[in-house]
Amino acid sequence: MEITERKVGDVSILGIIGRLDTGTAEAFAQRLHQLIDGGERRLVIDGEKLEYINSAGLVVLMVAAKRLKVLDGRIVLSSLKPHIVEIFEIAGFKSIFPIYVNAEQATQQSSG
Amino acid sequence: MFTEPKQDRRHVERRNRDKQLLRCERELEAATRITSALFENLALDELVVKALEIAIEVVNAECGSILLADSPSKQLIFQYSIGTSPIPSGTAIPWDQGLAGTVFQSAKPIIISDAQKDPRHLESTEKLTGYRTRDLVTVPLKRWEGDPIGVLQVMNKREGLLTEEDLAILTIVSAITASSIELHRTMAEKERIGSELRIASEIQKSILPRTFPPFPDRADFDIFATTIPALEMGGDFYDFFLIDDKRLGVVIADVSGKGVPAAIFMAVSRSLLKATALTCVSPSECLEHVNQLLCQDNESAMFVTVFYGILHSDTGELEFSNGGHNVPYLICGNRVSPVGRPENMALGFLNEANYRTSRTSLKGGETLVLYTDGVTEAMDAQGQLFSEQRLEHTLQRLAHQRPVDLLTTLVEDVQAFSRGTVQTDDITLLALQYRPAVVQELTLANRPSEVDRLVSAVARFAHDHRIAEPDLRVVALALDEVLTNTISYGYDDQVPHEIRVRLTLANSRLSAEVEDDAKPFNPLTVPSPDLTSPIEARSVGGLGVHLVRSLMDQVDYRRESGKNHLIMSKRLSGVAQPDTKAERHGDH
Repeated sequence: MEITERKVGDVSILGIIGRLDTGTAEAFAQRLHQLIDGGERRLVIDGEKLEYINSAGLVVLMVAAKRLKVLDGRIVLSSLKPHIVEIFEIAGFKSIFPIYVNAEQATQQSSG
Repeated sequence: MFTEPKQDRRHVERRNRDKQLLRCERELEAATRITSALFENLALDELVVKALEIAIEVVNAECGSILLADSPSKQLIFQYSIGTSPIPSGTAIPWDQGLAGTVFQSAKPIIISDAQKDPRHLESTEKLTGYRTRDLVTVPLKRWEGDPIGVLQVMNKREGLLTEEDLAILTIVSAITASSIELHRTMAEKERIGSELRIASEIQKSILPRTFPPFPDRADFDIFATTIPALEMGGDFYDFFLIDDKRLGVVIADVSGKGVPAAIFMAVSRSLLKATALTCVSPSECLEHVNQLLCQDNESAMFVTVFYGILHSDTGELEFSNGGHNVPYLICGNRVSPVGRPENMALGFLNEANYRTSRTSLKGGETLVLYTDGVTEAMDAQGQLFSEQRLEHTLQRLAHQRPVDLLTTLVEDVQAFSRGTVQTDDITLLALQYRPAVVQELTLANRPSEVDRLVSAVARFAHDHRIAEPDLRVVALALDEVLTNTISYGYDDQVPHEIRVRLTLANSRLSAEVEDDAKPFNPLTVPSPDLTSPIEARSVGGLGVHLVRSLMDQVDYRRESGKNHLIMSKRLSGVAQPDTKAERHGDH
């Protein structure tokens, strides 16, 4: 897994490339929490190149979302492949994570 | 010598001419009326009664009857009788007695002015009705040619006596009536034969196995067959049967000729083949034996070409013997190749003929296609044959389909090819795909990095066995969750442990069995996670097990001999599209 980062206004966009599984979840969690620790409150996870996610990856997202909720922040997703969306659906994540078709839309909805 | 004056002679001639004209007119009238009745589409009985009515009216008689001959009883039976005191239908007289019998036997008409004085007159029928016959005309009921099928009688002209003119008219009526009766009889006979043929055709079809899949509990092969007869009864047949648990017999055959004789020979051949095959002999022994049986008493000199193969379901070995039949094809990947070569003699020719058994073997996913020449010799409107070449190309194009889809599409192709022409030969096909269970076992250590190794192995397995990407993703994710869980939480000691994973692909179902000696853990007892509450109320646990249970069709757990056994399975949604690059590579 690799993570790309860019910032548009007050929104941090994290692109995940590859697999978000037990072996990579920890690195991803660390980076997320560093950003939140550094004051980031608006996060977009761009899943355009996310190939795989398991429960370890889902847990990282949920923990980050819980933390941001308390801090009045927000985490949204964009550009997920259909088979990833399916996993989100089974896990009941669609009701807690807004999913946008692309990063631009996700950014617009998150900013402010 | 008295000579008639010229004047008078002319007068007589004119009178005769007039009489003749009048007679022609009456004949024409009767013929016209009966003919138009013919076109009214009346039932036979109605038509005959109508003809009789017209006859009586035109000759101005009191009554009339039509008697039909009944060969078995040698009787003439009153079938239709109308007018004053009609004779009851069904009354019978011997067909060589009385005036009617005389006319029937001689096929010559009789005209009599006083029946009571004629010794041939039968009084018995008159006693039946109390009716007294004076004058009468009896004409044979016959077409212009041929033998009489009965007689037509008309009695008691209302004014004067029945004349030669009346006889002429009645002869016409009789001829038309006889033709109609015979036409109806021929049609009824044809219809009867037609319906018997249809029934026989149904019986013939019903002796071939037509339930698919024929052995629902056998996942290690997939079989489909179809036959489309050209006539109502075909000479082609296919057959398949389990000789025992591990041997499946497949047959395709083509009997010389068509129609009923071919169908009877087919039924005999099919029964002999199956009965002999079930005695567990080799294909060549089977053909030899059946050949000898067919050669005995084969006076009609019919023969049958047969391909008989035995698939050993445990090894994929195919033993076969070809008795003069078209060489079948084997589809391996994208390659279509003949199975054996044309050899041996058709069955039924030569009592001493020898047959040879050959061998080949089928790998998983390979398909054997048997066909009859009705496929390759199907003709298009320009007279071109479908040909073996076209068949090979079609099989290549359909290489990755299952037997039922393969044959359905192939038959459609052949029919589309020969559209607008009449099918002249039976089209018969049988496809047998070998689908042995594929098993792969892996042994993993209880280290997190082993999960990646497992996932790669599953991906390779899926690729090798054409498991589609979505199915692979699901099974790989489920195995990831299970193994991660076991490795992360299953062991308290620091000792290395073995985890065994067994993948089984059978019957379009992929199963994964995980066996480990970790702490007892039954994932089926883990409660489902909360999927609906707002984020702050959600817990992070139980997601992995939930994914496994949702994604797989079936999950079973048992603890046995100190080990956890988790068996998960998923019905595969489809076959992966062949990777053409890999296929090409594989060919070099």
